[in-house]
Amino acid sequence: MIVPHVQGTGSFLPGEPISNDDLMQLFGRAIKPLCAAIGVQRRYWAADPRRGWQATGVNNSTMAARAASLAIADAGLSPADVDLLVMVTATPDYPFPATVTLVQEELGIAECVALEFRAACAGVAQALAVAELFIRSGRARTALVIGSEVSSSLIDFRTSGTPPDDVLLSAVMFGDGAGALLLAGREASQPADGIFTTVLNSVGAGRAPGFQCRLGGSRHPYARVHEVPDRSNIVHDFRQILTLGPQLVLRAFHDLQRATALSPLDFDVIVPPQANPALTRSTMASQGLDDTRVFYNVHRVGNTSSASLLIALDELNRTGRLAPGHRVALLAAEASKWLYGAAALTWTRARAASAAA
Amino acid sequence: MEQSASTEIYERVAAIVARRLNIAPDAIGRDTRIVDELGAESLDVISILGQIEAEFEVEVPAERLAHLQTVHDITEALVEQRIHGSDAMKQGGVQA
Repeated sequence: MIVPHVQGTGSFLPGEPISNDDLMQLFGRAIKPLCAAIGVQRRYWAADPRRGWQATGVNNSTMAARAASLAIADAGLSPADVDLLVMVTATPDYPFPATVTLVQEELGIAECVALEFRAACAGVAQALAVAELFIRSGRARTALVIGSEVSSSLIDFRTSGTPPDDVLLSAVMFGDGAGALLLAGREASQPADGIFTTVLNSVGAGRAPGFQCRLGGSRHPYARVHEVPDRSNIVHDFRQILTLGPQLVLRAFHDLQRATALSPLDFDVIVPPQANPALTRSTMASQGLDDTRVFYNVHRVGNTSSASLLIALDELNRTGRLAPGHRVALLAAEASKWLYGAAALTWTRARAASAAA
Repeated sequence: MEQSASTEIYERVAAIVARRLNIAPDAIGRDTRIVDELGAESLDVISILGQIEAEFEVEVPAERLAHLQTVHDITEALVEQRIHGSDAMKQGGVQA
């Protein structure tokens, strides 16, 4: 049986890190307790607020292509070897053409299957599930899974006076970045080899969005934004996120355990949603799981949404924390309209020789 | 600390709480509990705390938060910091 194996990883973060002190310069000292409550210490944005919001010369597709190139190189392959590009983003370069086609162009891939999913934090599970099916069915030998986000582009940071909570929350929590995995199909050498299980679920029917980007779609197109009475673009329902967010993460983990017949301690490394460090850490602690088994880098890079699990996995790979035989659980959950997903994999790459990040 | 200074702090804190919760300052009694009675949510509490820290140039340690339930509690904590930590307070780093 052919199963997908992770053969390479890559990631890219734009510009220089933006610290909480930088945010206090921008928004005032009053946001200090918010920074402490969320727990993100630094993030990266594609436009630099310290230099008049100058663009750093990167956008979603260029970041995605950089991460993808690194993953291809890490796998020892070339772009022409990629059969399937499957990308997920909530912040595409344009409504269309799909950003994945621009990434394909940037990578110099003349022909391939190119799919793009519109999702945020849960999207990587969707992309992995589809890549898994393509490889298992023999429709692709290799798949490049990419998550890339420029969440900073959604937020109007230049409002006068004290910005509303939604802007501050987004500024404190979100970072921009891209991550990629190169999956290659190989004969399974053991029952649970490579990516052996993916689960997906959408449970938000009848429930208000926990997180929403309201403007710029066809309901409120940019040309008629001035007609919208409340022009807040990003809306967080923080109360719902605090109560339902942890439940969603646990459902993802429980579904994965049920599908794999594994218990939490059977996983050597668990990568939970890299959304809100304080909330996720307390959620995992409620299951008796501490940082010896659970991996976070969200406090160092911010919540990079669909890219976050891929950026985390790249760091795990490049720092040599993963060894052949390690069981890894990737947990994805998204408050937008309450989606979750997860993947279980057995790491089959040799441990990275260098401990350089 | 003079009574008038304490009253002034009380009024400034009440104004911050009232502005955040969109209520009249005189709707807040001395012992009105901000979360339990006024319905402040966690994000409100974080915002109120941020406004207080910025306006009074102090830092409220996390372990004290649970004991600061009313405007009166907050006022007392600020008065205490002014008495015991005025030098450090100027640097915005008081740990009461």
